[in-house]
Amino acid sequence: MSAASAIAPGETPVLECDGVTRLFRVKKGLFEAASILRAVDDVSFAVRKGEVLAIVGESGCGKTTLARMLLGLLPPSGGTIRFAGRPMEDVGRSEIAARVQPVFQDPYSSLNPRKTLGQIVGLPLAVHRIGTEAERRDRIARIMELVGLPSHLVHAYPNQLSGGQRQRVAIARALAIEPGIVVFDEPTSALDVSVQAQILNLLMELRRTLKLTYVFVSHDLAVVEHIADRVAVMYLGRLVELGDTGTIFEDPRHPYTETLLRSILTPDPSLGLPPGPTGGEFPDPLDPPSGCRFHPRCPKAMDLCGAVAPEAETDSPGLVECHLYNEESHDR
Amino acid sequence: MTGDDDTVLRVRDLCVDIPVPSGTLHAVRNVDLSAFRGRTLAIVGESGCGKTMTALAVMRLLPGRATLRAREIGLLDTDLRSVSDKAFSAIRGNRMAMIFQDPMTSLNPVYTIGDQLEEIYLRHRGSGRREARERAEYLLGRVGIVNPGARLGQFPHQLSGGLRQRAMIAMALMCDPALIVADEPTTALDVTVQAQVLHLLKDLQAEFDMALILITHDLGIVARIADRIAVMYAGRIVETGSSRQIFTAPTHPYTQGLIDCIPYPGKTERRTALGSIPGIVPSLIGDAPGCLFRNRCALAEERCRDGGNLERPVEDGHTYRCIHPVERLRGAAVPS
Repeated sequence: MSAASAIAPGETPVLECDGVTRLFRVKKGLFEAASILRAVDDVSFAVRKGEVLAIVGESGCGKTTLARMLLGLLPPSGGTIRFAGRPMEDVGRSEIAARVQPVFQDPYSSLNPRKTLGQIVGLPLAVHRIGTEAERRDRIARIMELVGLPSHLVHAYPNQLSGGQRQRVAIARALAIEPGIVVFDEPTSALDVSVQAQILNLLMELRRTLKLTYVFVSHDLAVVEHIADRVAVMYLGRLVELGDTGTIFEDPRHPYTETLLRSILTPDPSLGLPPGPTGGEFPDPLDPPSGCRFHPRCPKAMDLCGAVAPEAETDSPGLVECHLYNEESHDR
Repeated sequence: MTGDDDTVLRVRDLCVDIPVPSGTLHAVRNVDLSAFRGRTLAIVGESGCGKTMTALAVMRLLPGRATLRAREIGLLDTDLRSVSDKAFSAIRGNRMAMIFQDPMTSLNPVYTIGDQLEEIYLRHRGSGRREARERAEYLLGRVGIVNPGARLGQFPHQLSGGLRQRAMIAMALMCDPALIVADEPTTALDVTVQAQVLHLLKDLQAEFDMALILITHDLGIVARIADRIAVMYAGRIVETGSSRQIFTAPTHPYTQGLIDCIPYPGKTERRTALGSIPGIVPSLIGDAPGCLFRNRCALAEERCRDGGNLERPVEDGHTYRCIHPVERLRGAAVPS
């Protein structure tokens, strides 16, 4: 088995994407020919053990598709995803589920309304045939305590819970089989701010105590800044920048990252609205712009940008895909 | 200070009750608010605090079972309480208009954008179709939609979320209203589009000299665009003041807790625990004397059960509802 060759032994990433692409056939109308949507386009990055890697970008940037591929719920159309160095095809559905668990955005639709909390949290244990019934009961009780759910709720149904409590159930279910990696898709965007703070605090504490690795998909940059170690920025299917949270937020390189950061509204009454973003609307993902996909909205676009797609530069701060940082582009 | 002449909306002692099987749900309790020409009032609070119900009460769009009481609901020189339903429909969409959160569910999918914009104008102004179309095209262009003439013939599903919300804003402006109530107008939008739409609302407000009531849970938006803020909790306004007063000197323990909850890039230290408000919102069913925040408040005392409803001043234009004096609240650690 060829493990990630560029990475020294002992540093094998827990999850790795190598040129991962996902295409969808999309029909706009009944009689129109299907066109190809490149939801995720040639994306490569590694998730290090114990880190919080955030994936950010606007709707339609491919972040949720990428998350679903990392969960093994959707096969890539091209490229390879590796779990601890092994290609996903060799790992098998049940082992992937045992290693990587999801927490979705909407705790109202992601919990079965006809099952009790005990059944919901215990389902992964039953599926993976872990422990005897008594052991499972113990484990369910322990996990519920861990995520801050009172033990009497074990017989309650989801509709008896608040949004925050439901999201705690989803987290408990994800952690039941001790997965090691949890993929969160907008875990707090359906919650009120005070509840969001409770859940974020819980996630940070669980990561410390259980030594978990998080992939955290979100559009909320303030939340990402607070909890992530590294940030991956996606635009129209491309990974355009990746780096440490501090570097991304204090010294962003890609003009798209700058645009995103400018749109964060911190609660500072002495500041007005940020200067209006340039270049108007988000383009049609079915018909992405030529060259660099961001060039029609980019304040720093050059002639080259519309003609030639930039190549990703990987260096010590991370990764950036922009002609401004591409040595060869400057030589042209 | 804003003069009385600039008052567009004046609400005094607004209560909204909804009968439920186990009693009466008091969704809005004794709310006072005023909106002024050219100014933005933000009503901020979490789900169920009554902020949307307050807006729906003003627009007379409450769900059928809900009942409304108020000492005053005045729009310019009209007492809205005494207006018949029929007469009210001549005011709504005309002298005041509402923008909803989700433009997909608030636009009719089987009519074109043009039909929906023109209908409002035809109905309230009784003008000819050509004039209505010209107005619609002008406003679509004004809200930043490229090629507005072509967009008039399109259906809502052919527009992106950002464009739909712009079309909704254009629709609200059709009859040049004195008041716009926007309920979470950018919550369904991406951050970059959100900034554009907020800019647009501010620009239009200045251009058309409208009063804007912005209802949102997003403190970042509120801080950046509100002139005045009303913080609601469990149906009551617990604190009100200018944007600067609320964010630099939050006084009610709930306001302090709420501001402390949000991650603030550059201020909150990364990967440290955020402030949080323990417990959950109390039931709004039945009479509730005393302060409704007391079961989550670090400073709660026995007398909070029956006191705390009186509005007290912090300084000019800044009030709060709590039994504790300002010095006590400021000195206290934020509940966590």
